[in-house]
Amino acid sequence: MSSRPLLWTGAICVGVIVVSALLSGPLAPYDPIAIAPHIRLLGPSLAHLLGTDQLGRDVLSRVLAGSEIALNLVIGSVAVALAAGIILGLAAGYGPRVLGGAIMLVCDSIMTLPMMLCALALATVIGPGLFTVGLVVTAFLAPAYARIVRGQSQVLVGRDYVIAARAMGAATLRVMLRHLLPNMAGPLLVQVAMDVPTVIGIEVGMTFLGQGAEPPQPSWGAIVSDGFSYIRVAPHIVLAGSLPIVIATVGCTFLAEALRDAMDARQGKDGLV
Amino acid sequence: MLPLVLRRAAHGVLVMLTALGVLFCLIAVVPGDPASVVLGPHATLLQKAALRHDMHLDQPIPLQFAGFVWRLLHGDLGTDVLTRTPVAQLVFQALPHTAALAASAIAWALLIGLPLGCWCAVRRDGWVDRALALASAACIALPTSLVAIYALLLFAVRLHWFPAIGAGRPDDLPDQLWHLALPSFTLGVGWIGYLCRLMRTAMLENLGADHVRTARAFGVGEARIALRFVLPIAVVPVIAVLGVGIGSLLSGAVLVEMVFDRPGLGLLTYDAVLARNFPVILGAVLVTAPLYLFSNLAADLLIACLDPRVRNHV
Amino acid sequence: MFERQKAKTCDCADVHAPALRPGPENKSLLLLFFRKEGLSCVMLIEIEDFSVRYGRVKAVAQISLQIARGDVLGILGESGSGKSTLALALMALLPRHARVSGRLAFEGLDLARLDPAGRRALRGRKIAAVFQDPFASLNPVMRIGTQLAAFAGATREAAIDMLQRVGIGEPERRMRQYPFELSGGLRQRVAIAAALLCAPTVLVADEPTTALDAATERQILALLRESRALVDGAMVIVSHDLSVLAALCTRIAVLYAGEVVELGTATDLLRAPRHPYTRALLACDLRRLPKSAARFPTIAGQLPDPALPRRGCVFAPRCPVRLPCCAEQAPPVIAAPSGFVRCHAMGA
Repeated sequence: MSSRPLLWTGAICVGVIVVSALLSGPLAPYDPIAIAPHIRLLGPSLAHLLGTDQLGRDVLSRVLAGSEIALNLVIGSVAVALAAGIILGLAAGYGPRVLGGAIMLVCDSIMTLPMMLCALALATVIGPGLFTVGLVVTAFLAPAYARIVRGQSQVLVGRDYVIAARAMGAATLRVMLRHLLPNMAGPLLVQVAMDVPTVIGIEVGMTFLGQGAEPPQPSWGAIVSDGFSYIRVAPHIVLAGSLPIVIATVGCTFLAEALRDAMDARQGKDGLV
Repeated sequence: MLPLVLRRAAHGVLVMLTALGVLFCLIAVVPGDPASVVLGPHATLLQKAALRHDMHLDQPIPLQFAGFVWRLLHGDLGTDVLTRTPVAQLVFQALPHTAALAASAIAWALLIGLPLGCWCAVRRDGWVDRALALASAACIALPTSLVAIYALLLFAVRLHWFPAIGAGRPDDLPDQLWHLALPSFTLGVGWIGYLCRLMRTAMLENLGADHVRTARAFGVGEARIALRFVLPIAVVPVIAVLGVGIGSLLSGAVLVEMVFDRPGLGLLTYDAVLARNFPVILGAVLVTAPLYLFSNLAADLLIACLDPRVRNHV
Repeated sequence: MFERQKAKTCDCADVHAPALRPGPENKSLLLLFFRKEGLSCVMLIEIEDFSVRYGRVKAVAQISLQIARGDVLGILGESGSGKSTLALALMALLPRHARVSGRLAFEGLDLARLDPAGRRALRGRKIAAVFQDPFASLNPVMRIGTQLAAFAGATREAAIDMLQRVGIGEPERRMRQYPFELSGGLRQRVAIAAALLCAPTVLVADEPTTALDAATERQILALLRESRALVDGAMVIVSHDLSVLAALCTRIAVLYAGEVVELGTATDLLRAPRHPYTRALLACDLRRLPKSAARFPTIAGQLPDPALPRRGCVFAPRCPVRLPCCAEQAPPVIAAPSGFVRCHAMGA
């Protein structure tokens, strides 16, 4: 799979979404939550490029605002998951073996639970909302990061330059920061790129079941979910809501594949015999 | 082989117990009280206390967990607060539909994903390989709910090729299978892409191995090498992945059932969420545990059959 | 002009005429010689001006050799000498992206011009191979019996019989076992058995004993020696170890950077090596060192970059007896008692 076009396609898709999220305020032609019942369920037109929904809200503005919500959700949950994962992974890799074993067991266990059902269970207790979504996602993403970090730390700890650094008296923490973290960046980045579609998918799924974004929040899942009810009279809503989802998820996956190819090539796995 | 089976089973049990423990802790630490949630905002303190006692929520956490596991071993998943029926009963009524959905999704993934992955590996860098690489990435990327919605719209509503709602008439197997086809395919799409990539990678690794060079040196044809010499080795990681993927499968199954209005754990959970019926939802999560143990063990046994090295090196 | 030697099983009266670098005058001389002597001996394998390149890297550079029936040819070379590529070429197993020029003919058929199906038809029937690493060369999840049947198309009885002949005790039990249940030595015996079961015309072994310990190595060498009788044709053994080749081969070709620099019998090479590289190799052999030495002998310098074009003698940069002409002109082929040597300094 040639990675150059893949990389560019992925990067452009992600870039479009990020830009639309950052500039959603200025770019949106209308207020995403302003109700205007007299123009409900209009198809795409010059005035409303993606039409209006069942409450007369401009769908394009809602999609742009949804980008911002998605970006916040992704950044928030991934950042916390990364932090937790890195700390746990380092502890597992460098701490006593028993601790390492226990942490890995917990990580493996979390990865076997059904994410959607647990999310629903938590939503029942905490209540619906994007915070619940974020919490579930963070809890389910962190184990993968911890695995990667621990794996890398075990591989790298045997490498010559780490042994040399430690022999020269560098403190363990310093060794970790200088040598290990840059090497872990690659696999972690690939994993993050693979996880972004998961986050978006959970948000869409939860909102579809009524436990995610609360009205009038214009998350992408909300747009699709609303549109689903009006699918026969106004199919454009579902299509408009799905478009950014497809761009974001497929773009991120292409980016992840291209990154992985690049990393493999650097490690010489593609080398001639 | 028995020590191997026992060891793997024990590991599976340990993983499951830890998972339940984590779930328990998560529910214990989050803000919100299941009892209050069930009873609603107008409940009195006394009612809440009574329900908390009923749900064993007033005991210390470790004790709760121990009692919970004990009851789980006896098949007691708690009691539905609204109808006072045992949760186990509700869950096991709904489970067969969801299990059928999950199993047929795996079947789709194996039937389509495995051969495609082999093809990609053998015809590496051909146009089929490149096209399938993109298609697999798309399959993996798209959220299950979205795929379900579009599948429903296109194949059921627009084209009328498949039914849109329900699981079919109870005693009519062909009808049930017809109702199962589209939802299971939808659920399987992501796995098709994933298994295709996984199979391709595994086969490529093995096609470059020394023992394949030996086979080629003796004039064995490429097709025979791929099917007879490489496939049994390459399929092992695929089976391993399927063995532990039951959680992800159930996750997707919930959404697909909602979209296609099928009976099963999804509908059960959704109704329970709306009614704030916490024990039922928890029961639905917990039923994953025996399913995980079963699929994990089945996968391990299958791998042991395929790879004699695993059988002998416990 | 050309020395005569009695061949062992070759029917024609003759001689393994030394291989010549085909220049117009050499070729016509050779033809003249054959016509004059009335020889119609057809060599089993004829390699003429044969080169293999992977992209810009030249792995084998204009090699000319001839292998007749009954020959056991040894190819001696270090890593990077092109011996593995030459072995693959002889096995008709060169990868698709290898660019070949020159001629490598097996029983008159030019392997390079043959299509993949044609090459595949030869492998496992006329040409059989034994590889270096017995731990990786057999399929780990298939039983020995199944693999022998798949590789050589042999019946169960024939397979059991061959396993017995290569020195594997309890052959019926071994047929049902998997490779990981066998030691390295046993696995290599199985590999040799598979090769012999094909009743090949040519058996090519690429470093057959390198991955084995010394005791097992001796056993496998003995087995290979005995197997010579079972191969109605020729054997080619590739190794970096001269003592291995000396134990097995009638003639040895010394490979350096993809070129044959010397060809001769094992005795000649060991007693009186002519080419400076062969001499240096022998001097480096730890087993031939005097009891105590202050330092290990080495050959100074490095292999030339295989991607660069060649000029003059390829060994010149590292040669202790380098002459001014060595850097400019390619060395001539000079006949030797049992073969030839390519060196300016060996002026006849």
